[in-house]
Amino acid sequence: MFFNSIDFAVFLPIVFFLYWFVANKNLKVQNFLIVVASYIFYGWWDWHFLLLILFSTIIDYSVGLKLLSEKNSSKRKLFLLVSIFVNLGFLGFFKYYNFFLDNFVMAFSFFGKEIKADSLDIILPVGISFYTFQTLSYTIDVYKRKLEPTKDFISFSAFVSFFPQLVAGPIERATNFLPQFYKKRSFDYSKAVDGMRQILWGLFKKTVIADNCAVYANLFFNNYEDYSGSTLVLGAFFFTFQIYGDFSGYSDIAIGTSRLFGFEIMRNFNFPYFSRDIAEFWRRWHISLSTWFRDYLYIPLGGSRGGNWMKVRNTFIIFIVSGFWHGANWTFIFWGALNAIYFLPLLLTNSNRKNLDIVAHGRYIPSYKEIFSMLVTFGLTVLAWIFFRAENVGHAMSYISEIFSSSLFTIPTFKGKRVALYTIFFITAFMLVEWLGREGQYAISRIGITFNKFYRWSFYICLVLAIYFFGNFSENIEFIYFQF
Amino acid sequence: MKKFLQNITYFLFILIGINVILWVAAKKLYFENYHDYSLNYSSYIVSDSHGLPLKNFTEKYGVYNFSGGSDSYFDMKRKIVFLANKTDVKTIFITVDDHTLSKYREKTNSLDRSQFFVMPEVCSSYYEYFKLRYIRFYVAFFQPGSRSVIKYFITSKMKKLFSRNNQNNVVIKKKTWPDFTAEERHNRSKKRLERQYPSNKESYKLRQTLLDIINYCKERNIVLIGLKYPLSSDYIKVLGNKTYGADKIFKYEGLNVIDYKDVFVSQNKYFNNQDHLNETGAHKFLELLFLKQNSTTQMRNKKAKKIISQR
Repeated sequence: MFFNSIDFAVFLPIVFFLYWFVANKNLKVQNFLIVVASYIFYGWWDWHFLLLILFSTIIDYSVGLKLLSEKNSSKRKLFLLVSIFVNLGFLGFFKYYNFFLDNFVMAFSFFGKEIKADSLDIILPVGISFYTFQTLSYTIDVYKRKLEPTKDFISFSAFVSFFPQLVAGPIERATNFLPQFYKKRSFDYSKAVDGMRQILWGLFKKTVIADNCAVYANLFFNNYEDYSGSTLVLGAFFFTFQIYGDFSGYSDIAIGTSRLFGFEIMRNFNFPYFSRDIAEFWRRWHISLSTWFRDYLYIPLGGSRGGNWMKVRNTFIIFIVSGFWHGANWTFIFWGALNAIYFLPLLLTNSNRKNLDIVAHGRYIPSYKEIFSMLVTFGLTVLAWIFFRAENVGHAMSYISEIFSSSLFTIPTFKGKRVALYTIFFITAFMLVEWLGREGQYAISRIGITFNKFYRWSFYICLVLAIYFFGNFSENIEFIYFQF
Repeated sequence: MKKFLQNITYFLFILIGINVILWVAAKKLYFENYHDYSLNYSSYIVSDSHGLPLKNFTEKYGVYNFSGGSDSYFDMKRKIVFLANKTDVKTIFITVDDHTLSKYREKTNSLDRSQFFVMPEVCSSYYEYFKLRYIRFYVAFFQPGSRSVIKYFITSKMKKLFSRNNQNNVVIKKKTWPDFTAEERHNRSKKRLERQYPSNKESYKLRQTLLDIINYCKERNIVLIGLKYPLSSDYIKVLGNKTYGADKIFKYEGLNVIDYKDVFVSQNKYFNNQDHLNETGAHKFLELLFLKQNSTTQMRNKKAKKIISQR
C-alpha cells in the first residue's frame, strides 16, 4: 500500500477512527490495533511477507527474554548471534543471494573455470532492510543492557511492524520508540495538526518534485548515449532532487502519520542539500541509517579512536557497508567508497565536526563562503548520486565520461523541454521554501505559528492544487527506497 | 479532538467543493458523451477514435456505436463486460487496427472514463470495484486523465487571452484533409506514426487483455468480429509493414477480421485526417461494412449451399 494511493487514503481514516474512538480506553487494545493495521498495510503487497516479519518478531522477542534471564556472558552472546544471524540471514538471502552467486561465478570464470549456478527468482520483501535493522537495534541494546527487554509481545510486535515507518524508515531505536508503546497515548491537537501538515508537505515533495524529476532522470540515464554532456548534467541534477523529494517526502509522511497516532519518531532528513561539507551532509541525510551504522558498527570497530590507519579502515567499512545496504550492486559499493573518499580528508584533519549549526543561522542570505561550500558539497553529492542511479559501474563511468566531453558546454536538447522547465521552476520554489524553513523540523513546520488561519489554509489549498495539477501519478514511479 | 475533527471537516468541505468544480469541468470537457449508451441493441461497435466518425449512423443498420476516443483494450474489456451483463448482445465489432497493441495505449487511454462501466466481475474484490466505480470516478483528484484535459483547457484559454491582446482577430479556416498539400499530409502522417508506434515491441498487457476479451466472448457465445478501419494513402505509405498484430491474434483464434485498411486508398475526400474518416467516409464505410458485406456473406452462403447440394 503506497502512501500516495487511494487505498491509503481509505485505510488511514479508518485506523485513526478505530484507534482514537474504539480502542482508546485500553492501551493493549490500542497496541493490538496497531499490529493488525500494520499487518494489513504490509500484507497489502503480498501476504507471504507477513510470515517473515512475524518470524523475525518472534525470534527477537524470544532472544530479548533469554538475554534477560541468562547470566552467562557466552550464552548471552550466543543468543545475540542468533538474532543477528536470523535477521541478517533473511536480508542476505533475499537481497544478496543472487549478487554473491553471480560474482562467485564471474570470479571463477575470470580464472578460466566455468561454474554452472542458477540464480533464484527471489522477490525482495518490501522494507526488509528497515525492519531487520530496527529489531537488531532492540536485541543489541538489550544485550548491552541499555534497554530492559519487553515481556509484552503485542507492544513489541507493534514496535517492529508500526506501519508508518515499516517499509522505508526512519529506522527507529528501541530505546526511543518501544517505551512509547507502554504509555497511554493522549490526543494532542497541535501534534495532530502538525502531523497533517507534514503529510501534505511529504506528498508535495513526492508527487510534484520527485516524480516529475524521475521522468527526466530516467530518460537521460536510460538513454545517455543520445544526449549531450550538458543534458546529462541536468539528468544527474534531476536525480539528485528525485531521490531527496522521494525519500524525505516518504519520511515526512511517515513522521506526520505517526504524530496523528500520538507517536514521535526520529527525524530522518535535516535539509542535507544546504550542507557545507560532506561530514555535515552525512549528519543530515538518512539520519536514522547513518546513526545506526555509527552506533552499531563504527563505534564497536573503534570509531575515530586509534591511529590514522584505523580511522581510514573504519571509515571505508562504514561507508561501503552503508552503500551495500542499499542494494546488491557494485554501484552502491562505489557510491559508498566515493563518499568515504570525500569524508576522509575531513576526518584526518579533524574538520569533520566544524559545521554543527544550521547554515546562515538567523539570516536569510548566506555568506559567499557558505554559498561556495554548499555548492561544492552539492556538486560532490551529485557526482556520487550518478553511481547510485546507474545500472552498473560501466554505465556510471560512461555517463560521467559523456558529461565531461566537449558537449558539456552546449545547450541541453531533448523532448519535453517546456515541462522540464516547469519542473526546474518547482525545484527552485521548493528549495526556496526549504531554505526559509531550514530551522524547523521540516520546511513548513513554522507556518502554524507564523501565519493566521486564512493564509495557512490558503497555502494548504495551493499545495493540494499543486499536487493535483502538477503531481505525477504514474503507476510506474514508486518510492525509490522501497527497492531497498 | 473535537477541534481537530471540526477543522478537518471544514477543510474536507473545501476539498469537496474544489472536487465538485473539477468534476463538473471534467464532465463537460472530458467525459462529455462518453457515458452515453443504449441497452436496446444486440450488435455493438467497440473501437477507439477510429470508430467515432461513425457516430449514430450505425443505428440504421441495427448496430450501436460504443466507441470512445483513446479507448484501449483495457477500456473495451470493461465495456464488453458491461454489455454482456446489461444487454442481450450477440455480436461485437471490435477494432484490431495495427496500432491497438501499441505501448503508448498503456498511458494514453480512457481508464478514468471507462470506470463508469466497470462491473464487479472484472475486479479482484468488491473493495476494488467500489474503489474504481465510485471513488475514482467521483473524486476528480484521483483522475489523471481528466486532470490533463482540464490543465490543457486552462492553458489554452490563457494562451488565447494573451494572443487576443497581442493580435488582431484573425479567423483561420480549418483545413480538411484534402486541402493539405502532399508534403503537409506526409508530415502529419509521419508525426502520427511516431506517436502510435514508439517502439518495435507490442504491449504485453494489452495483448493479454485482448486475449481476455476473446476468451470472455467465446464463453458467452458472443460473436466477436475484428475490424480494421480505412487509412489514408499517405498514412499507409509511412506505415509500411508496421503492425503490432492484433488482427493476427484474431486470425490465430479463428475469428473473422474485416480488413478495410486500404479500401479508400487515394480517396482523400473520405478522410478528416490521416487515419480518421469524415462524415462522408463514415457513411461509405458503413455501406461497405453492412450492405456489401452482408451481400457478400449471402453470396458465399449461397455458393456453399450449391456446392453441398451438388455433392
